Amino acid sequence: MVIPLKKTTQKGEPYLRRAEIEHVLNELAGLPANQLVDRLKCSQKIIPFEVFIYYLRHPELALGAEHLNPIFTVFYDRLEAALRKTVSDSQFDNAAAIREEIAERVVEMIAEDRNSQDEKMYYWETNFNHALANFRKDVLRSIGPARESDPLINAEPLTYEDEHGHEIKPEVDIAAADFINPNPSKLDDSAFRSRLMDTINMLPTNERRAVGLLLQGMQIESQDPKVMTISKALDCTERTVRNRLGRAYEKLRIALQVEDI
Amino acid sequence: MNTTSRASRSDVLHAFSAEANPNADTLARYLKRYPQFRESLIDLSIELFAAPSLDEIPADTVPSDNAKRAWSTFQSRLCPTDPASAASRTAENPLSSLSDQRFRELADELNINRLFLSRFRDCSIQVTSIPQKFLLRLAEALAVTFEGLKHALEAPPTVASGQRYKASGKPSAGNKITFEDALTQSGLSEQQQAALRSMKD
Repeated sequence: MVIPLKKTTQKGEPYLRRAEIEHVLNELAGLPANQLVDRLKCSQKIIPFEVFIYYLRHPELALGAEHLNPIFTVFYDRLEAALRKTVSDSQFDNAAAIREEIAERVVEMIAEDRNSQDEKMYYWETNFNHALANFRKDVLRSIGPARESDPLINAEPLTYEDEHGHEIKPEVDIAAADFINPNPSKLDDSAFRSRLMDTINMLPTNERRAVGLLLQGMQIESQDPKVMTISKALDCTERTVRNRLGRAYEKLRIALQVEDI
Repeated sequence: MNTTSRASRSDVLHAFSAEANPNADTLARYLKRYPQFRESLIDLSIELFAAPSLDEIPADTVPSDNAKRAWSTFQSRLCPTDPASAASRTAENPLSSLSDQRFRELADELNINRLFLSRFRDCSIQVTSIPQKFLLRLAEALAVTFEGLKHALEAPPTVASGQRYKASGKPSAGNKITFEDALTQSGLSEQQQAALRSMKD
């Protein structure tokens, strides 16, 4: 049987993992330890990170060192590879040290959760990508800027226009459609995505939200009152949305030092 | 998804992050249903969208020594009672890693019951009192060496794994009992007891 998350909703129901994770856990639940290890080690059918956290975090599963060690090793090797992409040498001066710190602290947290009855890492079993992204953000914040020459830190705001679109420089008042033309192969690249997202996270809240919604494919406006749009979600006019996007775009372009985002 | 208006912010956010494929449509649905958490939902949706997909990044084909070092650190941090802890000798006991089904089958193969077999798993029998013949049969059935099995059974007795994590105090397993005591205190039939006694050296 798969161990449910201990954290519960207000109604007392256990929090759920993503359906995909529950499915894999159910599939693996009945396997003898040797076969379980083989499945987790298999490079043909990649098992999600969340599943590794599940097996590493729960001593109730009674996996001895001889079985937990190979599971841990696969997990750690994959974690290191993931960190090499998301904390890349090209982005950070001291990337290796940052990666090491993140990996060490993740391992520390798993051991702590395993030893205690705490449920600190329950979310890592639900959405590992997001949990690690947040953790990485916290570690980076505690370390400081990526490097002194970080473009965004030294970037001068191009305009100080107000929300209603006055005094917008013509070159930044661009159509959002021209701006976000997500190149799928680029967005699929974890390293580029990490950089893009780091930069988006440094934008003022209003701009970050506008960009974030647009990137997810939400329309800026719609004639159909039933359709959710960015301007509805952010409770502002379409013009304001476009202004925020325009300002954000300029900053992103400078920070990422690329012509086409 | 919970439709009650009493759903807490963290419940709603967790439900959103556990959605199979959160996208703009999913977000729109949540925004309509939970307008009170509008900003939190928008921020969460951006974070989820932004998080790189890490499962697709392949590990190096040659594992690094870092993993070995990290494992040592990890293992050394575990409670001594943890089945994977370096201090835990039960980890070496081949009986402790058997599935429930295999454990049952093994008991049947050896013509004993599960309680009796669990005394071996929990290292609660004095090894010197166990007939060699029985140890040999057990080692053979587990596909481990006689010496290896003997060594594992010499470990300090442990409490049953089901109790190990519920106890609020320090687990206590008491002293080891003799093979003879185990024979008479495990609910074995007369016939089973006689068969086991006949193995005595």
